[in-house]
Amino acid sequence: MGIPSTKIKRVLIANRGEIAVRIIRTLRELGIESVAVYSDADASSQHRFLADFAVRLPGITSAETYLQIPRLVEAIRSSGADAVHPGYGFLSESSEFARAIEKAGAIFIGPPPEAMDRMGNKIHARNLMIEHGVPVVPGAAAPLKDAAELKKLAHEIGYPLILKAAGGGGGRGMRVVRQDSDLEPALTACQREAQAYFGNPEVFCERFIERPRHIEFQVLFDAHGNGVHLFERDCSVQRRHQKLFEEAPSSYLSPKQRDDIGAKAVAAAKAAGYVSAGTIEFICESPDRAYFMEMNTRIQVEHPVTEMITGLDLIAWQIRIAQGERLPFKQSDLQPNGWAMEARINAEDPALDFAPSAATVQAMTLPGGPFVRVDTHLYPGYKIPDTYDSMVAKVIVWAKTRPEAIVRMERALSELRLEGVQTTVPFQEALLALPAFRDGDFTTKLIEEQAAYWKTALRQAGGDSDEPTLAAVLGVVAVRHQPAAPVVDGAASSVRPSLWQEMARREGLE
Amino acid sequence: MDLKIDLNGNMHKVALPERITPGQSFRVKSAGRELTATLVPYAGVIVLRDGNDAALERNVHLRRTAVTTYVGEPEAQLRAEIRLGGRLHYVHAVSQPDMPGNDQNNNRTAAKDQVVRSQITGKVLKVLVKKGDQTTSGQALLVIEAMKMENRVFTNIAGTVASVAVKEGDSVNTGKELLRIKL
Repeated sequence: MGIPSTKIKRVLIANRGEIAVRIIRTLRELGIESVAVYSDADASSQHRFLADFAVRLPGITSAETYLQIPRLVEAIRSSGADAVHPGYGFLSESSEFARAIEKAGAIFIGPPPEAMDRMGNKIHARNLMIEHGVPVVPGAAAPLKDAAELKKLAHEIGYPLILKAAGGGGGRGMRVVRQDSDLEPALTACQREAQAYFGNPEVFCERFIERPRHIEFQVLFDAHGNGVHLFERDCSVQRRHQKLFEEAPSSYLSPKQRDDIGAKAVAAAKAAGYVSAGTIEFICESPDRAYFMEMNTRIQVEHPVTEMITGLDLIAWQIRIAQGERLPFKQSDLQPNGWAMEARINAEDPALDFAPSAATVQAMTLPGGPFVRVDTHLYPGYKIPDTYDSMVAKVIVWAKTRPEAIVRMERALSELRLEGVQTTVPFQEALLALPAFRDGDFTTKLIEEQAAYWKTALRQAGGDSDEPTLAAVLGVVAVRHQPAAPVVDGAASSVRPSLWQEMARREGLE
Repeated sequence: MDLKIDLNGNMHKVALPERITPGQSFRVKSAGRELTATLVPYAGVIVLRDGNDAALERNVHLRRTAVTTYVGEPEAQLRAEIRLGGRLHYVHAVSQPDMPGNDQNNNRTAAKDQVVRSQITGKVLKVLVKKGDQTTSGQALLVIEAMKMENRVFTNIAGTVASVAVKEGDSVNTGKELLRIKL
């Protein structure tokens, strides 16, 4: 069967927020028209307006809108799109969606649905990796039958163990077991959760690595059997399984280890019959013990750090590959260049246990200057809906070395002014100041293990510096927020709008 | 206007004009020091000059400011991220008017019910207590859902639930009264 060679003319983006905006930008550079879809909650979202065309998806929740395959297929038809980019999240890893798009006569910009299925079930993926010589975490290769089997296995591979749902992901349906007596209840609970969350009671088990490093390799495969890896990303800085900071390359790996694990990532993607951009996640006990964890069959949030160290636009390459183009480079042509870091800015308040802050952006200044990139859908006056994800921006920097990248990120974050919305920026600033982070000596447990540090780091005020001046500044802020007339409302409360919005209102600019 | 600003537990007295017009300079007195300040429209900057030496301008960057006030309560809760002298400060402070007799206000809250307000904007998923229930410190009162996260609202006082102002399914904004606890 020949590989179709077509020219994509109009792409529907089955997503929202910063990734939709980011995809539209590449489409514009490629001279391809863009079609946005938007829910009612996203009626004022930037992606709707930035695209050339837009289709409304009536409804508010993800389930009513961005997850509705029949509605999206209808939007493909009505907009005349000849291809669909799924972004990340939502339906990006749904082979059912990919098949529906192909049935509608459009191109799915992503892997073949068969490859998604091969990697989607964790037990199947694990067995496929073992067959192809890719190392996996020591554990069970088949679904567990009963507690007796699990006990035998536990004694072979040793405690602690982790039980995982075959159809699971995102930290749900997992259980850590540390002794014989906990085995049976843990297995029963895990099977029950697996059935409840993922509709599949199959459970498998692996050795639990207490303090791992999370390293993932970007792979890129064309439809002609050519594939490369684009080096690693280090995503070890996590809070409750949520990534907050990523970098490429990783200070953890030597060039030799990078080549070794990269070759395994390429072998893993090849085993799945993979095409397009994808990510092989490894869990590392040590740099020499990197185990395959899973494959993400989509573009990832943190893809920009890879773009910065390779000079390749990954979205553009996904589109070229979908058009049937060949990769013009081999592995030996590629070298990582410099260091890139990304801070995921979430509308969450780190001083309030990361409570979400779905508010209106009153004023905004984005960082700029040398080697700084910001991907965001925010604009002044935009109300962040409380319906979807809290990630609102990504600040990405590049520098020649890791220490220079840290300084640049500090500078960039200090320039980011977002009035009206609480964000994770103070947390990321504290992270950059943390010695263990600066030394590159950390694991996925970094945030938990430094609990005391965060408490003080997020509340540093005055101290050694000029407290009276700080008080004077706060006085100015307080006076500017004085209500013009006494506030009388039923809720007996008043959160004053930002200083800058007040100013705009008084000056008739709003 | 005279303000008392509680910063890190230290009380600062600050004297300011009643109204501040952006772009126009004004005088601020803090800890006996007199400063000339200008609020720059839209830039998020306050330009400070020492009262006696106007040659050196200090730029104070207001990266984020939030002020919360409640009707009938003279204090304002201030939260700000300010860059001053090359350093970022994450500030939580309380300001109140510095007027004779205002000190009596400090005892006022002890006699009143404790009002529990929403710190976030979202939807009430669960109300875990009802009127008349006894509460203990650290107890969860409600669950508010926003951005696909469940956020528990806790109390830090022991008392009795005097009233509940919301029900499950209600949308709430930041600052909305959720319930009152009688000490």
